[in-house]
Amino acid sequence: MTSPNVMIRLCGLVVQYGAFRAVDELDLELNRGELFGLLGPNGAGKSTTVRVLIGQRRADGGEVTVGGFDVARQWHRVKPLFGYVPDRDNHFDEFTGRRNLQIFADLYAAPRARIDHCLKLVELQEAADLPVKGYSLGMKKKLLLARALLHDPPVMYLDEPTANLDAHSCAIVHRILRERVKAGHTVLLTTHNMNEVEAICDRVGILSRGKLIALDSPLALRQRHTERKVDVMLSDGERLVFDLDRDEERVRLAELTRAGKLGSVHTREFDFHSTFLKLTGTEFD
Amino acid sequence: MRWRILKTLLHKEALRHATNRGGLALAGLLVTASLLLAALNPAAEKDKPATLVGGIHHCIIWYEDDSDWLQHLRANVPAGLRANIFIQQLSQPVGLDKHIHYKTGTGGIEIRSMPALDGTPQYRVYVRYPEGDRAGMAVYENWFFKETQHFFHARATDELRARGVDAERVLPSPAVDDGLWDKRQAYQSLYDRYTTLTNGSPSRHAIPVLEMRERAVVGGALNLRAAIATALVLFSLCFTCVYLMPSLTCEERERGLLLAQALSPATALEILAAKFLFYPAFGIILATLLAGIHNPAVLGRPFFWMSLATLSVGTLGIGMTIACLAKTQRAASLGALCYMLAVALVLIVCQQNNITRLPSLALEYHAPHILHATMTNQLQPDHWWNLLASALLASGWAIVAVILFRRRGWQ
Repeated sequence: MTSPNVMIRLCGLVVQYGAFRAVDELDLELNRGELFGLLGPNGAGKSTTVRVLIGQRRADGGEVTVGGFDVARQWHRVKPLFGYVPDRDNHFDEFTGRRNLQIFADLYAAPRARIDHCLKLVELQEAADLPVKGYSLGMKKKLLLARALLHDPPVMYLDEPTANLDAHSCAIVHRILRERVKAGHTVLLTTHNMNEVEAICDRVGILSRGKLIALDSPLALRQRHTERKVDVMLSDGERLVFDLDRDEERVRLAELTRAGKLGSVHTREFDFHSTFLKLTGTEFD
Repeated sequence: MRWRILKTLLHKEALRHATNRGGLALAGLLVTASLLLAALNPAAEKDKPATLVGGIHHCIIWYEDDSDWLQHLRANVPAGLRANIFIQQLSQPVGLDKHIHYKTGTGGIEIRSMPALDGTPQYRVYVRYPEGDRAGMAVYENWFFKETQHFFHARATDELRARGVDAERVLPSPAVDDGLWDKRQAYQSLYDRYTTLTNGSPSRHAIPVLEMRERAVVGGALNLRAAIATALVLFSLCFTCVYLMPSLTCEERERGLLLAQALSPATALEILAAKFLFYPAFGIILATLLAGIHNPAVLGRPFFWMSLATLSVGTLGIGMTIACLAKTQRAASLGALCYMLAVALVLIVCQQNNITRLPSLALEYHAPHILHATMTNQLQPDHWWNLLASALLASGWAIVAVILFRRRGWQ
């Protein structure tokens, strides 16, 4: 029985490209008001999963529902529910940013005021009447986000939403996404930016070879995978590592501290990169 | 199908052309060419069409009953004219004063049987030439009368020899002369001389009476100005629907714009419908302008509008099929070019080798026929068949395009 809070449900999703199984029996549920980060190395199945969700690829097995509607059988009901931000910009470059949004606002029957609102959200008001071909990569990315927001969809899929964005623009995107989630909408993003995942995602799923190998909140992942070790450099330059889970090493560290022999002490922080390597055995791109 | 969506998509297409003015520039060039053609009339005579010199590429010798005479003609077609002369039996009797329909650029010599004159076989020989191009038949007539005279001279000589007459003396071989009118006269002289020699004898029936007639085939000549105007009109449809539309559609697909539209509330069918409305409309407006500049009267002819509607659907079907099969904008442009070249090549090869069935499967075969006919106001019953065939082919292409677009066109 699916919980009414579940917005996106993937049940035993299988996608094959010939003999290659890109997504292998993937089970995943995304709730309303949740920002979910999907991680994985190249070829892990992230993009294929998103392609299934946006109706660009038929599943070879399993079931996918969005808002309770089957993506394959009730596509016309699913389509208005989501906004999609692709990794590559796809604007009418010859038109202005405002004209681009106008075309899609007309398709969505969104009011004209919504165009200005979305432009303001992504801070593109000043460039709105310039041709998109003159935009920077970051501006084009923000315009994609504005376009996806035009019809105020309850679900958003974002593929690398902050790639090529400066720190300020990243902060804008993060703010917008968090606000969406706060309003009860669901956001699924694929990213390679670990800081971004930790900063904004409620939950993280790690895909490897089409399989979900980890699924938890960033905090839980941090707690589970942070090494309880301390790197110490003594006054004479000698470097030591103390495992805090071992009594004798904790005692030895205390002795050195009392003796005033410590030059510097560093606790090991959560390292998503190392965690990812440990989980997948694959170098992250 | 929602009008709000269609309107937005149509507006988008119009804006794209207003921003990228390449298509409009070429349309302007076509209009300029048409204006120049109208202003600088090479014939400068409204009552006579400007024809292509030597425009009779085929001559058909029609006959009702086979005979030794026809066998002789068949066996003596010069090698240089074998691709041009066709000897054909009429499939059904045609009244003496009825006309046989000739295609543009085709002339004929019709051998029609008449009631015997005092037991002497009698034929009416019609020389049918495209209006305005009488001289174009000279080479065919020259051959026809030369071989006819040779055949009947030989027969007359044999008859006289059988009667013990010194045929070489009383009926010497005709002099070798390339003069067409001399040849006609020579046959008459042969007939008169032979009749005199055999007066009252049954063998006098060896040489028939040939009653000569000449008739122009109305619209049979290729009107150069109308032909160029026809080509411009056809080109405008092909340019908008077979080149411009696939090129821009593939550009949209390559840049992910089709996907963006397909993920919006617009359905694949609505996206397709907008293209199916916009490009034919663009093509029809341009074609109408070009045709109107050539001859404003054409705009009042329903056949012209039917032709335009049919051809625009057909060219759009071809264009959309190319757009669906091509992955990129470059592939679409090359695909359109290759298609047009391939069709042109097939049509030329078929025409040169007198292959009649295969070209009728190409829309591009029927299109010039119906457009030229309506531009010159010389509609024949065959042109209605051309229009019907065009409509069938256009429907076929449109169906293929819709199926392909729904399956893979926007991905």
